[in-house]
Amino acid sequence: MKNQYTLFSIVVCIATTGCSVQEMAQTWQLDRLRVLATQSTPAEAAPGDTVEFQSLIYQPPGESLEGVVWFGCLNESATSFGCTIDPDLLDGLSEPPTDPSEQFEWFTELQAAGLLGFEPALPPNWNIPVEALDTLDEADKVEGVSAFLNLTVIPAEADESGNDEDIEIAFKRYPISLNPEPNENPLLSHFLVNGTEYGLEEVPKIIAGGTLEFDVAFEDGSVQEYTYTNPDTGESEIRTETPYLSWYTESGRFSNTVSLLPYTSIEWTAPDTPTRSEIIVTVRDRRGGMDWIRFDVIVEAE
Amino acid sequence: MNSALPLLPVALMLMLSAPAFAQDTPAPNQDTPESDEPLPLVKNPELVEYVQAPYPEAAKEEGREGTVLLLIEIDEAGDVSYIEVLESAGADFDAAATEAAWNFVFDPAEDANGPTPVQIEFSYGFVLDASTVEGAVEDEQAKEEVFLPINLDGVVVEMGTKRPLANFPILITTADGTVIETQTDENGTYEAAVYPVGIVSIQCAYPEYETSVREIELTEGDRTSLRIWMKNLNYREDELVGVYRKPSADVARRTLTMEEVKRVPGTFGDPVRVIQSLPGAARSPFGSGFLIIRGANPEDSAVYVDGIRVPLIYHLGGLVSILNPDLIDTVDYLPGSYGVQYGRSLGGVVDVKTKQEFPEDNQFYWSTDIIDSGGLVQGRVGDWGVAVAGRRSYIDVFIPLFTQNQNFTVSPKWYDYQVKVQQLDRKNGSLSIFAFGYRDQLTAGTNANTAQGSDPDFQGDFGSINSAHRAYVQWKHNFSDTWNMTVTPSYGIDSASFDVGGGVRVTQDQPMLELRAETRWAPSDRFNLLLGTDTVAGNFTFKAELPFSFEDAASFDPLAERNPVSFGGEGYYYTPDIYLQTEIHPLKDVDRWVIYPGIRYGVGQIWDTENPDPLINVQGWDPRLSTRFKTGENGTLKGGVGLYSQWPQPFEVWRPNGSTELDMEKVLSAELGLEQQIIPGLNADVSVFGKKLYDLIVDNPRATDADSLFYVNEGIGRIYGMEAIIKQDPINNLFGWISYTLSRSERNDYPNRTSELEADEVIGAPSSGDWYLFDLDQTHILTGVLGYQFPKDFGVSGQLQYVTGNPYTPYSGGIYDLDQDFYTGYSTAPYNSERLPNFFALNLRADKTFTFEKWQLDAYADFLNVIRGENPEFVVYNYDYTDRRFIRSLPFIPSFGFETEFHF
Repeated sequence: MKNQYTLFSIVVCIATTGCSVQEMAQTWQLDRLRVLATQSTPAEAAPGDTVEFQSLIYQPPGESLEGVVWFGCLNESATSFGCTIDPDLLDGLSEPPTDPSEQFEWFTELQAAGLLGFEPALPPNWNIPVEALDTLDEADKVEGVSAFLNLTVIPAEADESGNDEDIEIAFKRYPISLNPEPNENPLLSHFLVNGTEYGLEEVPKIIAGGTLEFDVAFEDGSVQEYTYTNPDTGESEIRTETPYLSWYTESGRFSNTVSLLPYTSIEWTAPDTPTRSEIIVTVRDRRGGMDWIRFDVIVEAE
Repeated sequence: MNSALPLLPVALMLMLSAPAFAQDTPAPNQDTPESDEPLPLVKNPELVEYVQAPYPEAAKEEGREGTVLLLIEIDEAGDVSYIEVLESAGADFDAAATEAAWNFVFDPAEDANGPTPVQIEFSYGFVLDASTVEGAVEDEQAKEEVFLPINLDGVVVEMGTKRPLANFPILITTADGTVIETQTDENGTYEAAVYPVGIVSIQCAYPEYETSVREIELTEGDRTSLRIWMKNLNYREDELVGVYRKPSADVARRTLTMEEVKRVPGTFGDPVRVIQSLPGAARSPFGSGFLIIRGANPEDSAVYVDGIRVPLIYHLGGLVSILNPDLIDTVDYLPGSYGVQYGRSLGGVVDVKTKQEFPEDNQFYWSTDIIDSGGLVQGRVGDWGVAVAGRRSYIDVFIPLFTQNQNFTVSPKWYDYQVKVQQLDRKNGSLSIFAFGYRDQLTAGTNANTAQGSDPDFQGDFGSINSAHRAYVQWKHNFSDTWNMTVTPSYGIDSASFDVGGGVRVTQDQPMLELRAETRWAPSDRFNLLLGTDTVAGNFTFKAELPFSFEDAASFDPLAERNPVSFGGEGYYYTPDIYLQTEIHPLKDVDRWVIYPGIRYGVGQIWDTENPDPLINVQGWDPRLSTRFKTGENGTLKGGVGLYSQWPQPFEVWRPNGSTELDMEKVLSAELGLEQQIIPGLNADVSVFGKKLYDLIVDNPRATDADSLFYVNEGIGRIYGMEAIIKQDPINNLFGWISYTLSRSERNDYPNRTSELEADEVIGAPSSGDWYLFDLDQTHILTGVLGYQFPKDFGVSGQLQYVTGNPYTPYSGGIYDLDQDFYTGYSTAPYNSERLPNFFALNLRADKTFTFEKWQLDAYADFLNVIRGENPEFVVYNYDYTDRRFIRSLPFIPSFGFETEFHF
């Protein structure tokens, strides 16, 4: 299909969609149960390594989380949306078999399908299959492949009502390689408000309707320099990570959804009424590594 | 010689201006029955031989002067047949004047049947002056000299247009009440001998023109020139021509003339935009002017200027065309079933014809509105007509006012130019040279310190530049009454570049030579033959920089390292198409039935200089047949069937290694219609059509790397529908039309695949092998246009549009991609299975022409969307596809502009 809406139409559309988009929920708005990030330790693994995972789930006040189901698979058994999982297996998550033998059988099938864990009861981890890179030549093994992780975030209400509309589905790629300098997660140390450093336990204050400029600081060495060797040409070069930040807030509004080097700061406008608002910022290093910090801001009356 | 005139009997003629008056007063000897209605005169009688009366001696000695008013009847031969003294000046004066008048000889008056007898009133004056007292001269030479001292001349021209006005009567009244009449010749000039001199009143009156009265002072011995300006009470009356059909092999051809369509609301004064109010043309998003004709993709319709193909007809956004409106003569709009002269396109054709005539005086046009300003100068230099035009936009100044709160700016800019030179009065043909071009530039982006998404490779502004330039020489020659030829060689260059945030940069240049030549041989009125070629040859260069390689793109792994690539191509192409068409009139009544069989042979190759195999190597025959059959005096049945082929699009024709293996896309088209005059001035035109598309080029789903074929000829399509127009010709200052299109356009990208096999699992997706609706399929398109011209050059018009909403694909939710921090929507319904709400809008326009002596001012106000519905253009979803909004079309937009026209 050739769908050639010319440039102007696209641009006019973008220029005129601003208001309509702003009428709807924004990606930086924390108003429902959702997954914001995951962190893998290590951030990049070799075949045979064991990897531990954790997720950053936002739960609105008053809403409870049933759990987060993790699956993992290698690339060959995945689609562009992650691992291919038999829907019948997932149905059992809301109504697990009661018979112990059926329960064991079901669990065995889940593990065979790639079940990695069920937060919080069963912390997810993955023993990377040793044959993960067997099909690659030596140069490509250094570059590696991306496996897939699938997360299903289940609110407690979903079980009771049987309604799965509130279930959040997410997927992530996980790099597996023989890279001698494997990637590491970026680490955020603290945040800044209007250029002033704040510890994670500190709570800045602002007058309702006012604006603040937020920023974050990275741990030293957290933004890595690494050697990349092109597997086709064999040429090597030093590259530097270009991490970017995603910002979220329970109230107020951000001027943008992301910020990235060299302009990592972002403007936040406080709500018009006094409240205590949580701010979450996540960082991605574009190589699979992630980190996040959370802090509160107190909004006071004028 | 005047000094030799001792006696100056000045004959002051009064050839009454209203011929009807002369005939309304029956001559005593006229036998014309009173019941007969006299025909209006087409030519006034003209005195060709004047006889001077001798000044009566007694009157001279007594110093008497006087004027005798005579009634003179002039017969068909121009001889005087009757004289009566209406006002006496004394017996001696009366006798002298009557005797002289009997010897007058006239060029007779004429009505529609030829020479006719008339009566006129004639004032014969006898005036003494200093010279006359000294003596009398009776010789014939002196008498002639008496009546030749012309002391007043000039020209009568139309205000605003400066057009000379022929056969306009002029009444000159002297201080003593004597009235002299003359009239302008074919060049608009006049002259008269006006005596006695002094203050005189000069009046010029003519139907549909405002009467002009001027007073000037004539002095003895001087000749005075006076230019008389006449204001036309309704300049537009002659301009209202509009949309009409010109019989040809193009079954559905509609030819637009400019002046009417310029006044259609929503056109911003640009006549080409009115195409979108005609049958077969779908509504384009945001009024952007894309040519979506009979369910075809915008890029499938072809645009020509004087037969030379150009990349596009509208500047950015489709607000105005690439040619100055005042340089456009006609626009041919061919939605389908067109003849073999046009090829390489599956959709419709728009052929803009520039003016072939140049004014005798120099003219300067200037137009300004909220979008752009432009000017045109045209006139004659020796034996050549010359026109130079140019335009520059400034809409980029206004757009930020509407987007300032969105942290996003758009800056479109464009210019265009045209230079045309044409040899005038060339025997048996014409020779013209035309150069034109345009440049469109678009930039868009956010503030410098604001992220544009999270990708570091796309943080810059978006920018694009498109330009095209053409220059042609057109030679037309009639070798005989039965054989003519038109040859149009041209040179052009198209350039395009775009920069997507600094990550993707592409530049392309494409110079070309084009030859369009055709000859027509018409040995009889029942048969003629047209042979032509439409040949294009040129070379191309392009360079592309991408932040990722083809393999990176194919793997689609955001965690993988990117390998920027830079590549380019250079090559050449040629496509010497030829076509042959005959025109056959099988019946004795040659106008009753005409058949146009024709065939076009298309061939072409595209080569990359680094590639041993041709990128494209195609050829094919396109047979076409159309016919028109008169069902009566007021009806014509018409039909056409034909094959149409189209080259791959520019982005589809290149491959790093080897041939693209692409063939031409094809359409088999059929149409049947009826043109019928309902009542004089009200015409209807109804057609049904069907198109079968095949070999459509679609993405190759099996492409995995740079060595793969990127595209394949696997797609098919079907389009069918009917279209109708009922048009009121401009009568009694009313014009308008109602056009309606009912159609359905569908595609199937992979008809040989099934979703159970290798296609996507999503039922109804374009890649699934199922039929789906064309993205801009609009079931009902109803457009009404109505305009009325009030006196004093004031006009109002309105346009009403009702169009079915475009199809769209609904999404039910999204899956979060943790690596890229965005949701990918998923649909549980087939592709394009839902429709946007219907579109409804009312546009209004008011305009007024102000006329001054040497220039005109045409001011207008165009009000878009005075009344409008919800009018969504697109669906936009929130970040996780759980909510959606419609993006409404353009809001109420008042547009003001003016155009001035100077004559110098």
